[in-house]
Amino acid sequence: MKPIIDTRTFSDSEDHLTIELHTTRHPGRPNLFPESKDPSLSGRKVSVLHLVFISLCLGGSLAFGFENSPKPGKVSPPEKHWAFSMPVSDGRSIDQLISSNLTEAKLAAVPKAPREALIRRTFHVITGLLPTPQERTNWIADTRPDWIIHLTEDLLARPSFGERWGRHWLDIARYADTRGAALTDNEDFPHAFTYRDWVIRAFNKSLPYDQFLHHQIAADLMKLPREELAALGFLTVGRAYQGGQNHLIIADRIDVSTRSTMGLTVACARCHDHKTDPIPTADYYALYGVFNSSLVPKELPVIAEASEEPGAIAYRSELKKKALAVHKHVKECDPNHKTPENHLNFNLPPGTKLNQTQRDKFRKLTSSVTRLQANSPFAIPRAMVLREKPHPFNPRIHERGNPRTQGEPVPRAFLSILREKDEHFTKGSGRLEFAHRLTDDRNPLTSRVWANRVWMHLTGSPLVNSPGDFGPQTSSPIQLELLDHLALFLTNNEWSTKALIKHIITSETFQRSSQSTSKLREEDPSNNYYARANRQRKDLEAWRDSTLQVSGRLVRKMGGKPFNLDQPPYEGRRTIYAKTRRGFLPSIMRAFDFPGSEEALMKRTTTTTPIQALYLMNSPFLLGEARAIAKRNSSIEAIYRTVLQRDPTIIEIDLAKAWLDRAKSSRTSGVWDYGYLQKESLLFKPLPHFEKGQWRGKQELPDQTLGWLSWTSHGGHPETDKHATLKWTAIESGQVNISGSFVATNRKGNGLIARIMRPDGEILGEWTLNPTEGIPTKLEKIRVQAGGELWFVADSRGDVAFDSFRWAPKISDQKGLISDAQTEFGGPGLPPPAQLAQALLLSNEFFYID
Amino acid sequence: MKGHHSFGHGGFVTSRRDFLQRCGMGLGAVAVPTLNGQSLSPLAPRQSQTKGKAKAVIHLFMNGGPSQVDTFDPKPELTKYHDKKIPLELKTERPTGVALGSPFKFQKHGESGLEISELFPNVAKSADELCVIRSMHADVPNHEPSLLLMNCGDSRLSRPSVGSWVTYGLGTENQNLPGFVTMCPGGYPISRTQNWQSGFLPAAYQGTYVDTKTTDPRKLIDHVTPTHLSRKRQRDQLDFLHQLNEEHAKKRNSDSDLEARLESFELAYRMQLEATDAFDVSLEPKYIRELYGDTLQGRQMLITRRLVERGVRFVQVWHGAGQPWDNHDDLEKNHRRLAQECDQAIGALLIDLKQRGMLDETLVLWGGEFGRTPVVEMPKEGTNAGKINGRDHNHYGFTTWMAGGGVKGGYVHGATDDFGFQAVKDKVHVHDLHATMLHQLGFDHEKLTYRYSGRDFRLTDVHGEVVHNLLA
Repeated sequence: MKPIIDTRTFSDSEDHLTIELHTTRHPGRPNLFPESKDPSLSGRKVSVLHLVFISLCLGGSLAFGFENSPKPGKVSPPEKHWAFSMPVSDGRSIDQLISSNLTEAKLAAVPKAPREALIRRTFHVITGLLPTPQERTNWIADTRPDWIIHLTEDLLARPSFGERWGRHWLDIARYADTRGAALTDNEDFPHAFTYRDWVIRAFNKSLPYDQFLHHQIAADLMKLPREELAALGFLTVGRAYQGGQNHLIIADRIDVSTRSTMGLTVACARCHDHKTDPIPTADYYALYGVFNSSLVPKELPVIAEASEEPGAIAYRSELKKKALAVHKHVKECDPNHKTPENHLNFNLPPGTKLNQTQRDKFRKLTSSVTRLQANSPFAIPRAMVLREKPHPFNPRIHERGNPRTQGEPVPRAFLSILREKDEHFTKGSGRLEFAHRLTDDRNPLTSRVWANRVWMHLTGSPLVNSPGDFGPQTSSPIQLELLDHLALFLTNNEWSTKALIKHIITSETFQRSSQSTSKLREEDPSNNYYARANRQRKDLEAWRDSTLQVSGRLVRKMGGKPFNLDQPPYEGRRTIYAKTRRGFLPSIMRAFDFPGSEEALMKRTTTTTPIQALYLMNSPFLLGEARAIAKRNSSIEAIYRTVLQRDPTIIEIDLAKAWLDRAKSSRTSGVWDYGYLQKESLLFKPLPHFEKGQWRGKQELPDQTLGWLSWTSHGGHPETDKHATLKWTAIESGQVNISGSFVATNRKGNGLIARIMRPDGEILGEWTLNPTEGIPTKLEKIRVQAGGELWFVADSRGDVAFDSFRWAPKISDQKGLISDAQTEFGGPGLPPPAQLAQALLLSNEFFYID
Repeated sequence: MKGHHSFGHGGFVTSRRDFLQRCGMGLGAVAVPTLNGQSLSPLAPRQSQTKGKAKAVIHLFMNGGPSQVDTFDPKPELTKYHDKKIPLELKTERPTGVALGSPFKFQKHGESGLEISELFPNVAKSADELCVIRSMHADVPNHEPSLLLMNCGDSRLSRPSVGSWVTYGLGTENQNLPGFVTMCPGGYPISRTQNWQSGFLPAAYQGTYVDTKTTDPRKLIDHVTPTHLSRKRQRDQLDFLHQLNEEHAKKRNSDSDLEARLESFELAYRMQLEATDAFDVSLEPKYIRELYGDTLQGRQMLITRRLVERGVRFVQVWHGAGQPWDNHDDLEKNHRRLAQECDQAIGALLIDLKQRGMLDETLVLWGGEFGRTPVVEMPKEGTNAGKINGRDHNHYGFTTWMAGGGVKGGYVHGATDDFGFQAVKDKVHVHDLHATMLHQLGFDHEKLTYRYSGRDFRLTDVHGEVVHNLLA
C-alpha cells in the first residue's frame, strides 16, 4: 500500500526545523518544559509542530471562526497531519516497537504478571466476566507454553464476548431504548433492542470490521438476509427532536458515522468551514445529501416470524384494539378519516384537523400502542431501517448552518481530503459508496481509529488519547508506529477484530504486571510507554455482571426486550440488556459513569464518589447479592473463594472471625423488632416480610392471615385478633424513661388501645384513645435487665377498619437518648456471612483488575 | 520555601504525603490538622497562601445564558433603536436581525442606586451588596465550550473545575459532607458531569451531584439511609473493608485511585447521618421557609445555605436541567417565568446569609455561561419556533454579579457598548473572574498549581488578572 501523502518523512526527519527551547521560568508562568520527561520534547529540541501544538493548547480556546476568537498559531498544513497519511510498518512486532520506545525513554519494563492475574485479566477484557473457580483451576494447571493463546481462543468463541464488546460499540453508537428527553409521550424506541442484539451477534460471528460498518450504514442496499437490516439502527437510534427537525437528525447521523469511524469531527462543519480540520462546509453538505436521500419508512420491516403462542395471539388482538381506538378517535374528530389498511400507521394525511385537546388525546392513545409494543415480549421484532427516497437529494450549502440561506450546490461525495477532486457518489443516495469509502485502501483513518479502540479496551488506555478526534489538533502519539502496526494487522487480517485482540493479548506488553515501580511512577505516571499494565477498574457492566456471577444469580439469556435495572426484583440478566433511557439514567447508571447516549461517547470517564459508595453500602440490589452469596456459602473460606476466587490468608480469617463474632445480627437491623401478639397470648411473633420501608405479612397487603398488620418507622396497623407489637431489647441493665406519643390517625376509625408491657404480662402503662386523639405515652424509671424486653402494643377496639396509628417511642436514661424507634427503624438485619460477602464485593480487590 | 517551586515531579499522587508535596502551597505552608490523630484526608481543611476574605463559594448558575440587557445592564439606546438595525454587526451562533429593546423596566435600588430590572425585585432588595460586572466576555457563542470555560477555565481541554480547585486548595470544613456539592433539579445541565469534574486532580475533589427535584431529604442522595445494619455494625463492616483494602494497596505500592475509593466509603458513611439533616429544610423555622418560598428554587437555595453553614466549601446551584435560560424565542415570557422561579429564593439567600453574618465570608456568584444578543434572533428551522422574539447567544459582552466574600457592594464594574452587545470598558474575561475569585479565597491564582505530567497546571492556565477594582 502506498501512502497517499507521506508525512512521516517530514515530521520524523532529522533536518527539519528545530528550535532551542528556553526552559527558564518566567515568574508566574507555568514551566512548560521542566527538565522535560516527555521524550517528544527531549533534547530540548522541539519541532515547530510541537510548539505550534502546545501554543494551541495554551491559547486555550478553540478557534471557532468568530472575529474575536483568539487566533490560533499556524497549524501545520492538514495534508502533513500524521493521521492523514497511510499507516506504514517496518515489520517490527508490538513488543519490539514498545521496547524501542522504552529504551529511548530510558525506562525498563516490569516483569510478566502472575498467571492468576493474567487469567482474570484476559477473562475481563474479552468477556467482562470472571472465570469460574473450575476454569481458574484448569487454566492454572495448564502446562502448554502457549496456554494463553488457547485461553484467548476459548474466550473469543463465547457468546459473552459479543456482550462485552457489543457494549463497547453501543457507547459509540449512542444507543438508547428511548428517543430522548425532548419527547415525553411516546418515548420508547420499541425496536431498538433489535439493533443491540445485531451488534452482539455481529461480534460473536466475527463479522469483519469493514463489513460491520457497511451493514450499519447501508444494509438495505446490500443483498443481505432480512435480519441484517437491524444493523441500520446505528443510524436511526439517535435522539429524536420534537417536530421532526430533520436536519438535526441528519447532523446526528453524519456525526455518528464519521466521528465514530474515522475520528473526524465533521459535524463541526455544519455552519462554517472547520477551522482546525481540513473539512470545509461543502463536505458536510455533501454528506447531508447522502443522508437526506434516505428516510425511516412509516412501517418498519419485520425481521422474525410471528409466534403462534397463545400469548402472542392475545398480544396481537390487544394491539389491534388499541390501534383501532386511535383511528376511532381521529374519525370522531374528523369524519373524513379512513382507517388505513395497516392499523399501525398513525401518520395522518395532510389536512386532518385536530385541535389541541384532540391532539393530546391522539398522542396519549398512540403512545399506549408504542408502550405495548415496547413492553410485550410477544411484539414482533422489527428493524429500525432507512430506505432510499425515490429521488436522491441534491444538497446545497446552508450558509452558516441556516437551511433558509441556501448557498452553492454541492455533489454528494466523500470528504474532500480523502478523495480525488471529481470523485462523486453516483449510485442513488451514495450511502453504500460512503460506507465503502470508510474502509477502502485509500482511507488511512478508519483502521487506525478502530485499532486504537481495540487497544484501549484491552490495555485500559488508548494510544491516541482522543479516540474521537484524529484531526490536526491531535498531535502525533508517542506510539504512532505501534498504532500503524495494529491498523495494518487489522486490514491484513481481513478486518478481523478477534484476530487483532488475539494478536495484542499474546504480546508481552499485554501480559506485563500492573505493579508499578517508583521510577515509573515518577517518570511515566500515565503509563504512555506501557512499561507495565494498567490496573483497570471494572466499569458498571463488568462489576454488576461479575457480582451476579459470584452470587450465582447471573442469567445467561441473550437478547430481547430490555429490563429495568433499578427496580425489584433486580433481574439477573447482563447489564447490556438493561433499558437505557436517553437523558434519564437511573441513579446506578449515573453513579457508575454510564454514557448518557446523547451522542457518540468515545471514551468513558471513571469517577470515584461517595455516591457510588452509598450505592454499594445500602442499595437493595447489592444487599440482595450479598444475601444470595451467604445463602450458598456459610464459612469465611467459602465466601472468600466465591467472591475473590482465592483462599483467605490466616490473618484474614482471624480478622474476619473477630469481626463476625461481634457482628452477630438479630432478625432486624437493630434493637427493635416488629411483630404482633395473638390475642390472649404472650408470644411475640415477628412480621415476616419487609417491603418499601414497611414490615408486613407479605409483599402485597392484605395478607391472608395477617391482614393489614404492619409497622413502619412512624407507627403501624393492628388486626382484630392480633395486636401490633414493637419489641425493644435492652443492651445494658439500668433504669430508663420512655417518651413518645400515640396518635389514632384516622377519624373514621373507632379508636385504639396503647400498652407498654413486659413479656411476662406486666403492664407498665395503658392508654385508650378515640379517633384522631393523640396522647403522650410517658413512663419514668422503668428498670430493665440487659437482654430484657419492653413491648409496645397497639390493640384495636374490636373493629380494625381505619385503625392506623402513629407511635415511635424514644427510650432514654439520665445520660440521654438510648434508642429512638423512628430513626433506628430498619429492615431485616444482614446476617454476618452476608456482611462479609458484602464487604468483599465492595473491596478494591473485587473492583480492580490487576 | 518558595511556594510552588517546592514539589516533586511525576503526575500521580501515590500517598497522602506525596500529595501534600505536590500541593502548590508546598508542605510548609499547609496547616495539618489531624482529627483525633486520624490520618490527614485530602479534604481536611487547609489554610490558603494568605488569609482570604471568603471561606466558601456559592455559584448560582443561570444555565443557558440570561440576557444582560433585560436584567442588570439597562440600555436606553437599545430601546430607541427597537425594530431598527443597530450600527454594529457581530456574528453570533445564529442569524440575528434588528434591535430588540428590553420589554422590562429598570429602576434604581438601594443607597447605591444600582439599576436592576423588574425581573429581580427581591434580589434588588440586596442591591447594596451586589458587585455587578457588566463587562464580562468569553470566547465563543456556544454552550458547551462556554460552560467548560466558566466551570473549568478551558473551553476545550479536560481540566479540573473551579470547585475542584477550591476544595483542592482549601479542603473542606466539614468532613461529614462532600466539600463540593453541585445541585441541579431534574437532571444534568448540558455537558453534564464535565462541569464539576476533577480532571487531573485527585478524584476526591470532584463535585457531588444532587438532584434537588426530590423533596424527601433521605432521597436527595440515593441510598443514603441504611436499613439493614445498625450504625455500629456498619462501622465494623467498613473497618474490616478498610483493612482489606489497605492490605491490597500495600501489595500494590499504593495508588491514588485505590486511596480515593477508601476515602469515598468514609465520606459516604458520615454522609448517612449528616446529609439527611443538611438537606432537610423542614428543620428550618416557618418564617425562614417562607422567606425562601415553598418552591423548588426556594428549597435548593435553603439547602445551599444549610450546606455552607455546615462548612461545605463550594456549592454550585443550577437553575435546571438542560439549559433553561436559553431563550431563543419568547424571551419576554420565558425570562419572566425563569426570574419568577428564582428571584425570591436568591433574594432570600442574600438576606439570610447577611442576617446570619455569613455573607462576609461567603462569595456568591450569579451568572450564566454567556449573555444574549441585544438584537433579535431570526427564525431558523429547528432551533427556534420561528418566532422573532428571542435573543441569540452572546459571548462578546454579558453580566455576572458577585456578592459577599469581600467584594464591593452596590458597585457596577465595566460597561458594554450603547446597545449592550460587546464589553468595551474595563473588560473582564472569565479567566480574570477566576483569578479574582481565587484571590478572595486567599490564593494567588498563579501559585495555586498542581504538577501533572511534568508541568505545573493552574485554573487560569497562562491567563487571568485579579480585578482589584471589584474588591472592597
